[in-house]
Order: sequence, then structure tokens, then C-alpha cells
Amino acid sequence: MGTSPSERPPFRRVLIANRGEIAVRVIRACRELGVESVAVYSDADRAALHVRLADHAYHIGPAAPAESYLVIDKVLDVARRSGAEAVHPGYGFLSERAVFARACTDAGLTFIGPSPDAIEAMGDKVAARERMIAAGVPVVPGTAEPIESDAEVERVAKAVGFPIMLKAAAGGGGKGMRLVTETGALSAALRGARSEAKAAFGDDRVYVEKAILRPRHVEVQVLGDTHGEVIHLYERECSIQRRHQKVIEESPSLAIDAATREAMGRVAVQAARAVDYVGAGTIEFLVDQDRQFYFLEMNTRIQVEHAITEAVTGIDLVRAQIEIAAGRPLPVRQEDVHQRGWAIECRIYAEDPHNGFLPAPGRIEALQVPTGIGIRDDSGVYEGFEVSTFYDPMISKLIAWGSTRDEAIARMRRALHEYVVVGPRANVDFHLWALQHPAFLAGDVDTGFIEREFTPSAIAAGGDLPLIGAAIHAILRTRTPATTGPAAAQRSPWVDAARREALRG
Amino acid sequence: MAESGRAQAFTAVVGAATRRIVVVPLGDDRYQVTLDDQAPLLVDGRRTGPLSYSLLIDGRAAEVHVLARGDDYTVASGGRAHCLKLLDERALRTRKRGAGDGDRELRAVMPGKVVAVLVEVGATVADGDGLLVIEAMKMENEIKATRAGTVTEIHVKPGQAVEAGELLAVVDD
Repeated sequence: MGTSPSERPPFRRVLIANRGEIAVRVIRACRELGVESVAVYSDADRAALHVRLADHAYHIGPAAPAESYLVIDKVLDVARRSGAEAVHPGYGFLSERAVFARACTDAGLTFIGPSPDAIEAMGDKVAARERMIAAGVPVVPGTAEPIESDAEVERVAKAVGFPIMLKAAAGGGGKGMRLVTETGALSAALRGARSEAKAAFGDDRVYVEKAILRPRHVEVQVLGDTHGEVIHLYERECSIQRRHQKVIEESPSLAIDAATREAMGRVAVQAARAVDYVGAGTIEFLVDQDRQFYFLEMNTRIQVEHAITEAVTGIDLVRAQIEIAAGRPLPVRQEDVHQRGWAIECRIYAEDPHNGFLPAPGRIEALQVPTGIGIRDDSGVYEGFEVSTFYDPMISKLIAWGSTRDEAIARMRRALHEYVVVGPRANVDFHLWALQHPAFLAGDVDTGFIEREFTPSAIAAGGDLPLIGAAIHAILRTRTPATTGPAAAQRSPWVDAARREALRG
Repeated sequence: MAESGRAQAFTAVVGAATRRIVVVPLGDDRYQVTLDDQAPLLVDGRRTGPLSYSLLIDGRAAEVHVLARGDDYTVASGGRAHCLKLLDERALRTRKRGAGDGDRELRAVMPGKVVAVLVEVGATVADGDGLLVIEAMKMENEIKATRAGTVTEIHVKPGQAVEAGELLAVVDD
């Protein structure tokens, strides 16, 4: 499986059109494959970790993504100047833009991902749904066509039966989405969904579907190669979400049994085949309380949470992406893919659980990352780095593996206990709360878990130790340092830090 | 590194609670710490980094990481973040005693764009009332009054970009 170190690298040089932890992740895969990496960076990212770790790095403009990481011409220009043969888009940014994939191909570059046609087919939710119905993939009952007229929305809503969900046709990330439980609330919800969709995507068409109450979000990882082979790498459960965004994921999922697992894997492969999928992709499903599963959407890129699949299957997904793009066959056959043990991911964000999980960026003054058995931390930051307001405030992805779910949970709790982020407010304590919640321990969670169960007071911190530590620090930070002797030289780094702090204070 | 010295007293504000803490540096990284009217503790507090301390208290080991900005302290320990105010005697004396506990001035905590202004100058607001909405990092954030009073100044308009620390509005008694 895979290449031996002596085998020829799949590419000579790969450009990574991204930043943060995923750029670092791709750079690492490149290095392991003997491929040179080319980083791109904005004004805000000159000192970012991905620039520090890459073999080559090129500036592509101001901090705002719309003027740097999202500008196709700038990325392609760097590819040309750097002599890159292929482009890895990471996730977010240009990763699911068919026009970018096409521009890469037109420029003679290999796009590390699916074909532009596949991205396009899955990118429009309405078109994707039709495609999936035709391929025999179960979908949530509702309309296949985007609806323009309000009267038609009402008619369909009644036909499908409340509760219903209104969704932006061009949507994503929860924007333009509304749950409607009764006829009376429909028109206000429709107005809200349309204006939000218009603002976010420039397209106010919505579609209507039956709402699945207390749904679980379970997704299946697929890999396809250029030789027409498609396999799945089993599921990830991503039900723990805030603001419709995942925050804790695990694999396997307790939401499904063996029979459902096999069926979902089969259907995911069917879905990927329907668009001749090449590379790593994810089929997202909603699973209801009766273990019925419904196609939600396909993400035509590597996912943030891919590492838990790597942990349980032992397959390096990013490496596989690069090898597949070079025309190599899949690294494994379906019958050789097995789930071994249990993996959990906690996304460590610079955000404040006491304040609606709002981003809380800032300079990382102290960072202590857990290590030890079963722990992986995929990070894009370091001590002294500024978590910028321009980008996603993720600090790192903490992944724990154990031979059983209980072991994985115990390791994650241990690792969170060791995790220190000082500067930006981080959500480490939120994760500690979630990982001891009876519903989580029982595996009885759904996408409404946080909204229903979490209150900031649940993570209120107390105890005398912080007070004692703060008071000792208060004494030392104001004390004038000794100016002579070897002892003074020794303690200079922290004295300097304390001084900096006192000045800023 | 700490030489012995005189006792220093602090008032700590933790949420709604106020606690008193007296520290006597004994030298050799040792401190006598008295919390409220509890028995004094002997604390071995070794600095392990610019913001980090290893504490040994009667054989119990703990690690704390402390960031201070003015009187505001954030202490990370055991995966939890603790926020508190620590006032020495001088700070206590100079601390303004106002009617409202919250801030008069509301400032932007991060750069962003003003999406909406929800109140007008002259409006009477309660603690927690939304004053304006700022979009930052692709999310809308409602800026709320942190004290009851009257809105006397509004410095921004919808659509305007704001920098971190920029004055947005003032709520007076």
C-alpha cells in the first residue's frame, strides 16, 4: 500500500492554495512523499506556520481573503512562477469552486481533487439532489426544484407536512436555513431565509424539505481514483455542532448499527460514482431516530475532520489525494478497509463559550499542546502567533484515538486537561464539559445538543489555585528585575515578557 | 528568584464574589498565602515560563498560566480558563466608584463592520440591551449595554468599518 520511500514522488512540486492547519497538513504529506511544497501567504500570514514549514512561499496580497487566497489569477501566477505541477486547494477558500479547478487544468496544472464537472454537479444543492435521486440515493422528502413563488412554497410545505426546513438553493454553513413548525410561521421564515440567502450567495431561491427532528449528522468518507474505482472509508459522526458548524466529531458513529453502516457505505459509493468522483470526498447524511438515512450534500474536498478517519482506518487521506491526482490507483481495496478502535476530534477554536461561541482572536501568549499516547494535534499556530480576525479562528484539531470509545474519551479528556492556550479565549473548557455530559457518554446526541444542553454557567471555573497563581504573578510582574549577575541573565526571557505585559496593561 | 519581602494584599473579584488574598514572599520561590480568613498556605511557586508557574501546595502539584492585562487576569489551569480582577490596595483606592458597575464606554473588541445601530442617542437602556450589531469574522455580534442608563453618544453608522478598541457608544447614568 502506498509508495516506498524509494519510489518516485508523484509530483515534483505542489502549490497549496490555502493557509492554517490544512496547509500545514498538506505540506507534511508532500514532504513525506518527497514532493516540494509551495505556500502562498497574505500580508497577515508572512510568519504563519505554513510559510515556515513550506519549501517555497510566495506573497499573494492583502490580508482580506477576497484580495489574496480567493484570487484565482494570483494563485495561478504563483503556480507558474514557482514551477508547481499541481495545486492542492485544502478546504474552504477555492476548494469547491469549479471555475478554479477548471482554470488549473486550463493552465496545465493538475488540480488535486475531483473534476470541475463533479464539483459543479454537487455544488448546486438542487442539482445534486436530482442527481442523487436518479442514482437511487435516499433524500429527504421535499422539492427538487428551487421555488420562486411564496404561494408555491406554502403549497409544497403543506404537501410535505410540517415541520419543514427552508434551505437556500446555493447555501452552505447554515445560511438561509429556517425550521418552520407550523403554517403560521411560514411567511416570516421564508422572508428571512430569502434575504439571508440573497445576502450570502446572491441567490434567494429556496427549497423546501421535510424537517428531520433531532437528526444526527453522519457522513461517509469516499475515495475515487482516475481508473474508475470508488471505495468508502466508513463514517464520521458530526452531530455536535454550534452555529450549524461541527465542533466535535467521532468515528465510528453510535447512531448506526452494522447493517446501516454497510448500507450507508454502499450508497455513498453509489453517490460518488454518479458524478465520476475522483479524489477524497464526503457524503453527508442526516440520520433520523429510526436510523433512516438521507443524503444531505456532498463535500467535494478534504474535510476538516478527516483525521479521525485516518486514525481508525490507518489510511493517510491527504497522501491518497496527491497520489490519486498523479494517476495512481487507490491505496487499498474496499475489503481491506477496516475500522479499528475509536477516534474523537475536538476543534480547538479561539472563541468564547460564555459569549455565544463568538470568535475571540488575539495573540497567543502561551501555548502548551498535549502529546502522549493516542494524541494528535493538527495545528496552524504557535506561541507568539496572532490569531487573525481575517480567517477562521481555529487554533488546532485535537484528535484522540483509543481501542474503545471509553479509552478515546479518557485520552481526549486527559489531553484537554493538558491543553494551554493563553491570549485568545479558547473553547477547551467547553470540550471538557461536552466530554463528560451524560448524553455524550451515552452517544445520545443530535445536532441540537449544544443549543439544548449548554449553558455558560456549566463551565464556570472556580477554586483557589487560579487566585494563588494570579497573586504570585502580580507580585513578580511588578518587581524590578536585578540588573547584574548571571541570575539576571538567566531570567531575562520571562522578565522581558512580564515587562512587555506590564507596559501593555 | 523571588526574594523575601513584605506582605502584599489583594482584593480579587471573581464573577460576583470578592475575595481577599495576602501573599508574603518568603524567598526561594516560596510564599505564604492567606485566602480570606482561611489558615495560611505555604506555596512553592516556581516560574516555568514567562506566564507559567508550577505550584506545590502541601505536596499537591498544579500548573497555572497567567496573563495579566492591567487588573484583568486570565488564568489557564487544567484545561479551564479563569477570569478575575486582581486589585492591590492602590488600585482599590483609585478605582472609580460609580453607580453602574458596567462600562460607560462601549468599544469594539475586534475589527469589523457596523451592520446596524439599534438605539438612538437619548434612549434609556437596561443592562444587557442590544445597542448595535457588528459583523466580524463573518459573524454578526450584538454589542450590549453592560449597565443601565441613557445612551449619550453614538459614534458609528451602519456600513462603517471599525477598528479594535474604537469607541462605539457611551451609556451614562
